[in-house]
Amino acid sequence: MPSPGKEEFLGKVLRQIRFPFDRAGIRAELADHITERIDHYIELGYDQEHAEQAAVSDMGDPTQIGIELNKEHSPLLGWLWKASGLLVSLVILLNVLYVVPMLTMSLFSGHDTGHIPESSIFYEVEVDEIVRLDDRVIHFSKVIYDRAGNLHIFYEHYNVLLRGGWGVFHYIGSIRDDLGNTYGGGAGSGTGGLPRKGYRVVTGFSPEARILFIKYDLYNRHYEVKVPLPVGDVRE
Amino acid sequence: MNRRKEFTRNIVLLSVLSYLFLHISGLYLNPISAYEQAERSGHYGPSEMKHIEDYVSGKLILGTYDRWVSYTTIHRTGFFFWRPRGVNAFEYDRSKPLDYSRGIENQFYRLYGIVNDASIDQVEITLGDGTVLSQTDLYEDLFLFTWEEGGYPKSIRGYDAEGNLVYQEATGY
Repeated sequence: MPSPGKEEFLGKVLRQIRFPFDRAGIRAELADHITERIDHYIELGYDQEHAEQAAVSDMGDPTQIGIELNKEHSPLLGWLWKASGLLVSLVILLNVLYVVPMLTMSLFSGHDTGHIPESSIFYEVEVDEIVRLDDRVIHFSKVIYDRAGNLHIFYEHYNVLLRGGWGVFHYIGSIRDDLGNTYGGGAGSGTGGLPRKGYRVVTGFSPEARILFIKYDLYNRHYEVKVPLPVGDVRE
Repeated sequence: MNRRKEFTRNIVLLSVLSYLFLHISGLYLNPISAYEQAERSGHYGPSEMKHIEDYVSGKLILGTYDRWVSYTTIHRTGFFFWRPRGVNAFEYDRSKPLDYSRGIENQFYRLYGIVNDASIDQVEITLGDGTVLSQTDLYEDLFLFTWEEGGYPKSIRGYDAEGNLVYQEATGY
């Protein structure tokens, strides 16, 4: 019985390969091997047709070869490998879309004091008070009082578990002074990211006040921050 | 690297990256975890969950914590994930036969509250356009109304099991 041609041989081998993503690689490798054998027989003086028949005959039974190769290239491992690769790509993409922006957001966010002109600052106090609410740590960092009577409160906050999705923190507590005045919550803003920055501005704050009280008392959570304020027309 | 080693590497990468994604993204695989995180990030609770129901964007969970009644909204996102949203709570007055508060989110009005008078078996509200909404199956002692049109309710009433009016009040909304 004449040997099958090269393409017929390769077709019979590849029909035994269950993992489709391996077929192209196996085909290329076997085809290269057969081509080498063909070249060898041509050097020995065979014509092309007989050289191809001899080369294919040298390879052996294509069905048996395919069965053995299929065992080596386990379809189950192949599918697991392929699926795991796709899932890794997907999860990397999700991290790029969600996690990287969150981690880098606060690096480029504002809320430094740059928006308050130097000339309008009446006094500035470095605070450095740290309080905690559940998993949130709040660091009150600075208070600035401007010549228009506005008190600017700067703070940063982060989740101790570095967990995301834990919401903004706008209500920092009631604002009072040592003169008995209570002020509205004031306008404010915040940034995303880890950690986050926050900012409140209280209008009409008394220039005579010597202590700022920030008191949080909500849902059985409490803290109080006292900030001594400078006397007279001085700047820190 | 052979295929088996690559697969093992991929499994390790998947585990680490998946944990990182879920931890930092603020997304959760189940609504209860998202609800617990919503309360924790809102510095409220932990509440006792009394009722959970679906709404268009996700789920709404009604609960009590100490002297507060609350509802928490959880949104479904990305097919598989849940994102915590807000917690709304009010401190209820035990001296009133029933007490309540309101909310609105994504054009859905809500009125939620607690029945303090054990004889009240049914709560009814009348909306601004005259529509009457009624709830007979209370969630233990809590009630929740959700609607899209008609504005906030003008009045609220409580009835006993025989249908007798026990309490009524103009809401002032």
